[in-house]
Amino acid sequence: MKGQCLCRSVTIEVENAPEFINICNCRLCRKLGSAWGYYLPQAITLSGATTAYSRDDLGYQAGCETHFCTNCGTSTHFVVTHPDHEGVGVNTRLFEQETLQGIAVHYYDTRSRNSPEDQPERTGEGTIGDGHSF
Amino acid sequence: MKGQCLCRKVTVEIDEAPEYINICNCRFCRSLGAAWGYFRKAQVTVTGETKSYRRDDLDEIFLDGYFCPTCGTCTHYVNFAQPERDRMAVNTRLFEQDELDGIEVRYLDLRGEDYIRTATGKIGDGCAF
Repeated sequence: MKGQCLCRSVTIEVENAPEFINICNCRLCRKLGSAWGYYLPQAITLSGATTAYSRDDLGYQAGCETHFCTNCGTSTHFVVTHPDHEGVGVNTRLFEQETLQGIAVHYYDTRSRNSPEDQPERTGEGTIGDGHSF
Repeated sequence: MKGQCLCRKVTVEIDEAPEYINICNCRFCRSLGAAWGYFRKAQVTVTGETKSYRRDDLDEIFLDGYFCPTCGTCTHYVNFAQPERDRMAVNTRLFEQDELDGIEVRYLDLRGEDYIRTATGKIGDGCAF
């Protein structure tokens, strides 16, 4: 499955559709407006120029680096940088909505989350194609 | 009401909360993941460096989208084709969610030829962020 940013400068290819998609309102996710699908780093192929950003406002080492298309700003993916973990979150909004039809979307409210150990609260369920999960 | 991008380099100030928020799945809106509130231009003050992008894949081009070049957060868009039209859109995800609680969110499916309103929510309902 191939996805592209708005201006089509960046392409991400994955072998399989994601099992589920997370939409979250933590500062990072809400600002970037992304809908994440999760992969192992070797399961994605990325081409095109992205700019990386790591938060420096957390009071602890940021556990991931976010990437966006340098040309159009579309959030493309994040890479886990924590030494004990690996993983990539791909912004599923790069893929045509039709190719994701029926995939479960989990909504998480993390406004009350105070530390990386707190588990976020799941506040909603949807599926791509339900009229509000894009 | 003041909002900021993820890295806080861009600040957008508005003089009142938006009446409603649109979330749409056209290529532009879905790619940028924005939740739009609409304002007259004089109601909006943008400070900090932004970068603009104009689509070149449409027959009719009318929007400039803006984002923070450091963190990528989409900040606003302007209809450049109709400068006389006193309206612009701000990504309401710049503002604290708590400040927007209760505002109506309209979901629009634009994959066909016409807008179809497919759902209505409100900020704070557990899905509308």
